[in-house]
Amino acid sequence: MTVTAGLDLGSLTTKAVVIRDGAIAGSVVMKSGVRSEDIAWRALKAALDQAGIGEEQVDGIVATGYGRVRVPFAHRKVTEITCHARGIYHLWPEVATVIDIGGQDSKVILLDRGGKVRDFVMNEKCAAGTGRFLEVMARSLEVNVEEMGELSLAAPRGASISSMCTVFAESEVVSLVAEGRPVAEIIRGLHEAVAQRVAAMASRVGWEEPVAMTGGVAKNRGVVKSLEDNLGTAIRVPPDPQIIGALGAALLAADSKK
Amino acid sequence: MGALIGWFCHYTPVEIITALGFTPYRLLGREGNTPRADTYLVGNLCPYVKSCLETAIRQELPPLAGTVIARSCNAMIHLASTWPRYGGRGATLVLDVPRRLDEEAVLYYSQDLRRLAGELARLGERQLEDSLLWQAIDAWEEQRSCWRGLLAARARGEICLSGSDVMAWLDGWQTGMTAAGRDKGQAGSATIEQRSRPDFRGRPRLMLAGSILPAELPALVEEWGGWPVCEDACNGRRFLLAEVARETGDPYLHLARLYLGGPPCPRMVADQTRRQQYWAGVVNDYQIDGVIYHVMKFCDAAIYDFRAMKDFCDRRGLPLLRLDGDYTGGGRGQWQTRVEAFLEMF
Ligand code: SF4
Repeated sequence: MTVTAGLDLGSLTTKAVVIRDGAIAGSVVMKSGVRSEDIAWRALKAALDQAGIGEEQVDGIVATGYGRVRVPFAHRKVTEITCHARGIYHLWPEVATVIDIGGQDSKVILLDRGGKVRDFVMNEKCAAGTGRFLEVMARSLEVNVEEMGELSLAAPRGASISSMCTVFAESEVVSLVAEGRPVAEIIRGLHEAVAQRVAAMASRVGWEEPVAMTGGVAKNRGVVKSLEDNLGTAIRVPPDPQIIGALGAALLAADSKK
Repeated sequence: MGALIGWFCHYTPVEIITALGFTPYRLLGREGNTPRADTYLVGNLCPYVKSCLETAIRQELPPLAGTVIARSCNAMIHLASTWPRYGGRGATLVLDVPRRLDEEAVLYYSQDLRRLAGELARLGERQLEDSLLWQAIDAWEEQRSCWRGLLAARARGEICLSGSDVMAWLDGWQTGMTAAGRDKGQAGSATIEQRSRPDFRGRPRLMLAGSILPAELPALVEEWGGWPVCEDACNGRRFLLAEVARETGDPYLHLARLYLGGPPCPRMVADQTRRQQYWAGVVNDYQIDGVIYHVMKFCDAAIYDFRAMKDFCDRRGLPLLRLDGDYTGGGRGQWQTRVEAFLEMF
């Protein structure tokens, strides 16, 4: 029996996945905090408890995400780009493009036929087109970020949001609310703005079908739908898109045991 | 050491400056934001140029007898109009650098160099005899050729030099401020070899390219697992120019040919073919496995150049990573994930 774990320390959430002989045995998502080491350890323990596995049985741990460098007990650190690619390749080996929108950044990753990263592109320094952008907007609109997807799908059209700068877009949103535009239309407009930005990134790197989406924002059906409309293709979303980076990390830990 | 003459662009012929008894001092800006320069230059302008103006406004520069500003791009044109009022003390001298290499361009540039030499001579006590200029040309060529040999030996793996050392020595040499910096070219590999011996063999061999490279980038790439073997930048390999046949007679014609005919920089828009040939030479000679291109924010020349580099790399099947930077020294966190992910591709 081989047991390995992957830890994905993102800016907003920390994810842990434990795999036993290639299958997911436990997984958790927790809020990230200032002390990454503690959160990472707690997440790992919780995932191991879920799987009914003791820490002494773990053969390898790979850490990923922007906090990967702060996990002293990880055996290896691998970037989230390689991990998302590995995670998706495990689920759907035929996927050629992975779009990952996380809390702090968004990326488009091209895979070769063997699941290796062929090329990638990431958003630039600002939060435009990321989970954080949507979170800030949700706060201004006084809605729960988890509800945004469903709300936007009910809107007949999207309000036009011209600025992608989080600060400017927030004041645009406030003006739209003051004008009396329905919240659902504003949210749809925001999703379209995010989707256009990510689609432009995807074009820059030369995306190919089939496309899959990972990261927390993939749980937002409104963004996925807008992205599908922008790219003109269906997008596959795994059942729990948020843990794919951690899954990839656990798989990479297992790969090195072979 | 003679009075200092500041300079920016690597198309500035330092030979003229030394022949007149001055010490050329390369302006390379500073780490950090540029709030004071932002008062005089628009937000979307080259951060390197703003960084240099910031050092001058903050009086962080040594006293300069004058500054030569090569109006080589839009940002430099803006700098040339701002510098005399808000920038360094001393005279401001401008130089107009052609954006192509042909006989007309060489002739034009040689005439402009002669004019510059006349203006510079008026700042000092010496008239510029051709013989003095030829001496300076020979002295610089001797140093450059040492540097070229040294960097080629590094690329062949015969000597192990860290990117941080290479950039620091080149900076020291270009600023001409420290004896150590000036010696580097002359000392050649023997002295330098004793200094540092990191061994990066077995790692991906990388070309780092861009307009001007942040000095910390090569060291960071090494820290994250890469092996930079060539820094194609105006504060790196390009400043070492290339050997040219000695022009008899007019030293200004020789200088014009030497500088315009050296490794072309991104702003040589009418010289793209030669730039591609230059990359091809570097990739073959240095056995490059991949390229990291640093795109300076708002440097139009670099943005267009990156597109050309992308086409070049696609044709050759070379992996290419684009890094965006604003020359403030704050890009580390952003770059790390990109560079590590890029290296994981190998
Ligand atoms: S970095 Fe670009 S914009 Fe700045 S001085 Fe050099 S060529 Fe001009």
